[in-house]
Amino acid sequence: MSTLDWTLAALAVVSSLGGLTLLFFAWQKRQSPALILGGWAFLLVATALATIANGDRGTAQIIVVMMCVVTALLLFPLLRGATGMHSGTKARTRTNATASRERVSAKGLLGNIWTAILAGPVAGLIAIFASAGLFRVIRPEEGNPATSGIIAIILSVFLWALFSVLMLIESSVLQRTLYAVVGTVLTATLSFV
Amino acid sequence: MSGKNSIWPSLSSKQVDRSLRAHSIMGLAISALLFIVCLSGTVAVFEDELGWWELPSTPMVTSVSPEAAQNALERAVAQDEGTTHAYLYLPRENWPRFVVATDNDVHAADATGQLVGGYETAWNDFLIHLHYYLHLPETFGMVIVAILGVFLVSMAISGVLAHPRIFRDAFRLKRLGGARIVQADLHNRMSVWTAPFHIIVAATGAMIGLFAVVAYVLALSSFEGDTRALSEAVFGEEPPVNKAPAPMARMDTAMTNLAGIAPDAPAFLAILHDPGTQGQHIGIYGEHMDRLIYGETYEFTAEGDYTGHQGASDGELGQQIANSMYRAHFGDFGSHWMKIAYFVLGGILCVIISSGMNIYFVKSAEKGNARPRMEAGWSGFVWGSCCMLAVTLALALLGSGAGLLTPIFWIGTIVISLAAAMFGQAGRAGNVLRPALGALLVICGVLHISMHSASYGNLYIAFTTVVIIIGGLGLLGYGLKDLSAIRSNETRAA
Repeated sequence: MSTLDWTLAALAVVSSLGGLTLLFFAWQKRQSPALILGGWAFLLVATALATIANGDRGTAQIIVVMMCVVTALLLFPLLRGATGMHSGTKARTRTNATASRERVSAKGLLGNIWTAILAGPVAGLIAIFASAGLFRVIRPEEGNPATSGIIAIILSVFLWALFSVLMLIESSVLQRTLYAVVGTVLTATLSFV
Repeated sequence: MSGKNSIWPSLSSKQVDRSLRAHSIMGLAISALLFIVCLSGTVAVFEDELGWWELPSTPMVTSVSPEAAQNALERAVAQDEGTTHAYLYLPRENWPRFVVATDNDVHAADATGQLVGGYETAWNDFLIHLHYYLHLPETFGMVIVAILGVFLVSMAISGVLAHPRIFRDAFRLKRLGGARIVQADLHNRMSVWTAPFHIIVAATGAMIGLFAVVAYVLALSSFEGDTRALSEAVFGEEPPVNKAPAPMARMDTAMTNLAGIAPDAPAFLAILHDPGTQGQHIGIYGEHMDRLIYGETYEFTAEGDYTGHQGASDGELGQQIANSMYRAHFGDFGSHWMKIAYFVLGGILCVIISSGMNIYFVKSAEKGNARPRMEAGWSGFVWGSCCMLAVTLALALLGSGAGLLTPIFWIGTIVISLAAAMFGQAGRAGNVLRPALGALLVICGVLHISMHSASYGNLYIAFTTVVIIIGGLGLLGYGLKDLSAIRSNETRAA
């Protein structure tokens, strides 16, 4: 890195500190969109400067710096001690009602296993099929398919994560199963037919 | 800022409850394995440094001439005839060593290319196998670890959905008050502010592990089952194999030529494919200091003539992204400072996972459904796995092989966890195991000094030992202080 690059990197760090400070003041004062916008603008400038200074490695570095600064500032007060796990917990007495809620029936257990299958492998299958379907649409007829392939692989990870959450958010096992079946059939059709 | 003015779409309380439930279910299902993957990954950030510390007799080499590289290559291949690849790990700024590997051997070499001994680092291998595969069979284990990465991304998504005030409370961290509030604030604040780290680490880990699986489905749906079509587009094509014998390839000429072709991309890894055959060819990775890519591969013929580069630095965007995943995952993109930052952020991720479970235990207790044994077992698992990493390190220093370390780690962790659940009170396990971890780290440091005192002229080795001992003493002192405070409280109560 040249002297100019180091200067830009230093400015990026200063700008990121400024941005985080403004966001902290915005959080303290509330109702201050100017501070919020100013804070994010400084963070964007910091990212741009770091990218100019050191390419995409600079972008990654400034984001790591920002995370470390905030985390250190937030955690610093904890050095003076914090409430332990068992201080101030108002434990209620175990009641018969609580105990009966705890017992899991065989049907409930099977339901839990079925939910795990839907939220895990089935959600994964839907996500991968959906990505394969998208890949068929976006890949170039001729030429290098690397970019569309990588987009499909990245998407498969995030779709799998999202579908898992959606499966677990749905409270009815029947509806969950229905969504899984429809999702699998639709995405398999999209990718293979 | 009132809820009405928020720029975020608001969820109904029912949706929030369901999201929180999804977040909890997922956390309960995967926390233990996820913790092990994150803990081993956090330590593995320093795999290079710990590998050298484990085998400190490896000579320090700051540069390797093309002639020395050729010497080392020829010697290594001669010792492993029939090897299909030879790898030269060349010294770089934060890795001043020279290591040569073939299919069956790994050697340390000096600056002249002499092979000076083996490079077996049992604990490092054990640690990497734990992080990559959870010690399961490799293909299966990698997919399991990748799925844990997917679920970590899921946890981030459900966490944001379950906490509508997560941005509004961005800087709030109560250290005093109710245990649930303190644990929840710690969990939520750390999660939000380190979100880019844990999403990137989880997603890149998942993509690395699932690449083959997804690429296979893409091949079935788009390339009539030809699985090489996509991987060759991303990672380059291998020339045809020709096993007829030929004189050894000229790595020295290739390295000299590379210095002229890419003077700003120092070589850090040179690979000779199919050594000693007509089909042999050379690939040399040059590090691009302003890029996240692992390295650009410059390709050469057996005679050392340049034939082109793979395109990781300037090819298709997809190639550039795929080649950036390793450094983004391991934090190897800016000397030791970035590694230290990744180590800290990895430690915070472990705290996030641990505090997530703590919140569950506190909430259960508040609802009249306390689970002290399970809580003690969890605490035993968290601190027990840390202790067992230190135990296996000590055993490796005493000469134990990687094969033995694996059962010792898992059996030890499970036994400590069960013992904590059976005999310990909730919270007590951590109070006992924290100083134990500190003591074990100090023992590792002292053991290392006593066994490798001749290597302490090397500042890297001495510094690593000092850091391990200071860390251990810190944990020991902090833990003993905690224990004595608890004892005096108990005496007063009695």
